[in-house]
Amino acid sequence: MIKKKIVLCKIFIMVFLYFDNLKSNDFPTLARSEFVFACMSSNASNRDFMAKCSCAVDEIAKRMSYKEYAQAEAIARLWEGNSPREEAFKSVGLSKERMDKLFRAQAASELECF
Amino acid sequence: MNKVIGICSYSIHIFGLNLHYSYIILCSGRKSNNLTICVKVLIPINNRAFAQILIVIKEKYFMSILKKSIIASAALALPFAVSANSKLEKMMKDPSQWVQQSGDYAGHRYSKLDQINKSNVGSLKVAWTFSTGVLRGHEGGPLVIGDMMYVHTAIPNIVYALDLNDNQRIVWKYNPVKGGKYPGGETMDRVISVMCCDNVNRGVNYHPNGTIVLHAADTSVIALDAKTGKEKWITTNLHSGTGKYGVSASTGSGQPFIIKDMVGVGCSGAEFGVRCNWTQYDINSGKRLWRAYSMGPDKDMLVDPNKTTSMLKPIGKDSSLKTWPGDAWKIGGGSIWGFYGYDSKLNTLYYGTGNPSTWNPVVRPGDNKWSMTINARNPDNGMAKWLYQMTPYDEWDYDGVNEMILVDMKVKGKNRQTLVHFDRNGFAYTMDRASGELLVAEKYDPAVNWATHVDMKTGRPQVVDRYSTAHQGEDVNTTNICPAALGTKDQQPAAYDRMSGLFMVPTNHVCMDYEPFKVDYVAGNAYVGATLSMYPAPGGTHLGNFIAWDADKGKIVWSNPEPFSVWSGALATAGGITFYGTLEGYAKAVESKTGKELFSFKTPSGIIGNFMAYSHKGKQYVGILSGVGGWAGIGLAAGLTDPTAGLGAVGAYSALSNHTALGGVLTVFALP
Repeated sequence: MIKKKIVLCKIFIMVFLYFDNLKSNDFPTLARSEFVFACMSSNASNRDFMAKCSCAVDEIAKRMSYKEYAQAEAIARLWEGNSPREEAFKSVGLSKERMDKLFRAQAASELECF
Repeated sequence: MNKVIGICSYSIHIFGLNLHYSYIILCSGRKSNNLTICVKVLIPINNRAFAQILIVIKEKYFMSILKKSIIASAALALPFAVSANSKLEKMMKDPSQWVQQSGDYAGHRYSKLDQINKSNVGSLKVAWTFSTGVLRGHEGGPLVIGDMMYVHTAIPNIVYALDLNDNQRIVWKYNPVKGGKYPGGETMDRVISVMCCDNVNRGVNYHPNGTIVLHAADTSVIALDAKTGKEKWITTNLHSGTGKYGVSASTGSGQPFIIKDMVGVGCSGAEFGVRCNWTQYDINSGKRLWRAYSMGPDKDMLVDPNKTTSMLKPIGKDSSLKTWPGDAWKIGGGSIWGFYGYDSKLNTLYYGTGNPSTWNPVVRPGDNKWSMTINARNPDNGMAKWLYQMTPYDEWDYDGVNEMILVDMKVKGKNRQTLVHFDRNGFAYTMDRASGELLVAEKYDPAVNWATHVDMKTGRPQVVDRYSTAHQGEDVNTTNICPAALGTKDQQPAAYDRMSGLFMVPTNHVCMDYEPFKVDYVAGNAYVGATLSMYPAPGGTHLGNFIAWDADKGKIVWSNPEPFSVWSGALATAGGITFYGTLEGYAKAVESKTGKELFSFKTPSGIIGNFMAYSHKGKQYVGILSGVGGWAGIGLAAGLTDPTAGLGAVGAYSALSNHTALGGVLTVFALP
C-alpha cells in the first residue's frame, strides 16, 4: 500500500516536472564539477557517489537554466546570513520562486539518481 | 504580542563540530505590563524546512577579563604637531600600486591604468586566485604596496602578505585571534554574536613607515610590520563585551584610516546602544590622541559652539544635548564604519555617522544630533569644522556612514571643491567641502518616497507623514517605505570616473514595512526596537541598479537593473570601463559612458568586496574579493544525501569544515 503511494507520488512529481522542464541545460562544466565535488563531500568520495552526484546535477540542469541556478545559489548563500542585506532577500518573491524551482529540481534528481 | 527584536548569528559546539546558527530573539510582552519574556530561537543553517528548532532561554556569554579598560570619557583636544606625510599621497598617484582601500584620499576609486580598455576587456581572463580560507562576507579589498599584496578576511580577520614576484607565495599570515580570543580579551564567539551585519571587515590600510594597520572585529587596532607581519602595537579601542553602559558590544568593521602619522578608527554597534566615536591614534606608538563622540556634550564631541558650523551657521552651545530626551544620548548610536575622505590642502577629515539608537523613534523625540551627519574635522586635534545632518530624527535606519568622494568640479557653472555623498536615505548630496554649504540634494532612485525633497535653505528633508514611522506610531506597521533600511545604497562605495565626470554608483532598489516597538536597554545586548520586512520596489522584481550619476545636475545618466542589490564597490578606469560585482558572483565590466556590459565572469561566491587595480612588471591586473555566507555549492548539494547512509546534515557540516578554504576567494584578472 505504502509502496503504491510512493510510486504514485513519484509519477505525479515526474509528470509535474515534465511540464516544468525548461530543457535549457546550459550549466558550464565548472558549475557541474563544483556540484559533484560538494555532493561527494557531503556523502562519500567514491565512484558510486560520483555517478549519483553527476546524475543529480544533470537532472537539475535539465530543469532550470544556469542563470536561475546561479540566482538560487546566491539566495541559498544569503539564507545563511543574518544581516539586513541577507534578510531583505528572504522575503522577496524572486527568492521564493527560484528556491522552489531549485527544490523541485533537487527532489526530481533525488528520485532519478539516488 | 510577539516581536522579533534581533537577528544574529550564533555558533555552538556539538561533538567537536562548530555549527553556525542564525538566531532570532522573540520577545513577548507589552509596555502596559513590565514583564517581558525573551526567547532565542536557533535556526540551523542549511535546514531549508526550518523544522529543527531549538529554544535556548538563557543567554550564555563568556565574560572575559579585560586586559585594558577603556575610559569612555572625552579626550582633551590637545593640539598635536605632526610632520606632514606626503609620501603616502605620492604613492597614491602611482597607478601601479593600490595603497589605500579607496585608492586615494579623495575616494575616487579610479585607476589611471588603461591597458585593459573597452576594446579588449571582453577577452579578460583569470590570472590567478587566492583562497582566504574563511567563510562568510568579504567586504573591502586588497592593497598592493610595491611587490607585495595584502589580503584581509572576514572574522577572524586574518591578514595575508603575498609576494607578487614569487607566484603569490604567502610571505606571512597574521591571525589576531589566539586561543579563541581577540586581543581585547573577548572570545571570537562573543564578538560574532554582537556583529550587527555579518562577520565583515572593510580592509587594512598602509602607512609608509612600513606598517599595515588592521581594525579587528573586537575593536582592537593592530599595527603590523609590513615586511614580517610582527605586531608593532595593539590597542583595544572600545569594548565588545557586556556590562559597560553605552560602550559594550562595540565592534570594529570599518577600515583604519591613515592621515599623516596617525591612524583613526570609527566604531560599529548602534544596534546595541553604543555611543560611537572617532578615535585617532599615533601610528608609531599606538597612543590615543583624541576622541570625538557622535553625540553628547560639546567637549565630548570636540565641537566649538561658535566656530563649528552647520548650513553655514554656528551650531551654538549644547547643539546635541538639546535634541535628545534626558540621557538618551548616552546610548545614542551614531556609528562610523563606512569609507572616509581626507583633503590634505584643507587638512580636513570627512566621515559620516550612523543611526541613532534605538530603531524605535518614538522614545527619542528630537533631531538626535549629530547622528546621520557628515563630519568635517581637523585630523590633528579632532575639532569639527562643519557638520551637516542629512536625516534629522531618523525613523528608518538610514545610516549616514557612506563614503565621502572629494571632487573639484563645476556646480551650477561655478568651480567648487565638492564632497559627493550617496546617502542611505536615497538622496545624493553635493556639498562645498570647504564651507559645508549644501549645493545639490536629489534622489538617486526614483522609488525614494519617505521625503518629497530636501529644503535647500534649511537642509532638512521634507518627510511624508504616510511614511513616518514616528507619525504612525509605536506598534503600528508603516508600509511601503522606500528605500528599505539598507538604503538606496549601503557601504558599497561608488567610484568617480575622471574621464566622463560621472559617478558610478552601486545601488539597492528595495522597500520595506517598518514597525517600531519599545525595547529596554541592557549594556552589551541587542537594542533594536523595530520589526522590518523588505521587498523589491513597486513595479519591478529587481532589487538593485548600477547607475551613473551627474552630481552637478543631480540626475541619473544611465541605469542598469540587476536582479539583486549591487553590494560591491565600483572601480572606474582610464580604459573607459567600470568594474563592479554582483551577489550571484558575477564580476562585470561596463562602458563608463553608456553602461553597456562588456565583460562578465562568474566568481566562486557572491561579491560584496570592492574592485581594485594595479600593475606588476608592466601588466595591468584587476582584483576582487568574493565571499558571501558559506559555500553555497555544498548548501545546495548537501540536500542530496543517501537516505540509507544516515549522514544527513551532520555529514554535510563535517564535510563543510573540511572545505572552508572554499570561502572567500580573491580573483585577479588580466589580459591573456
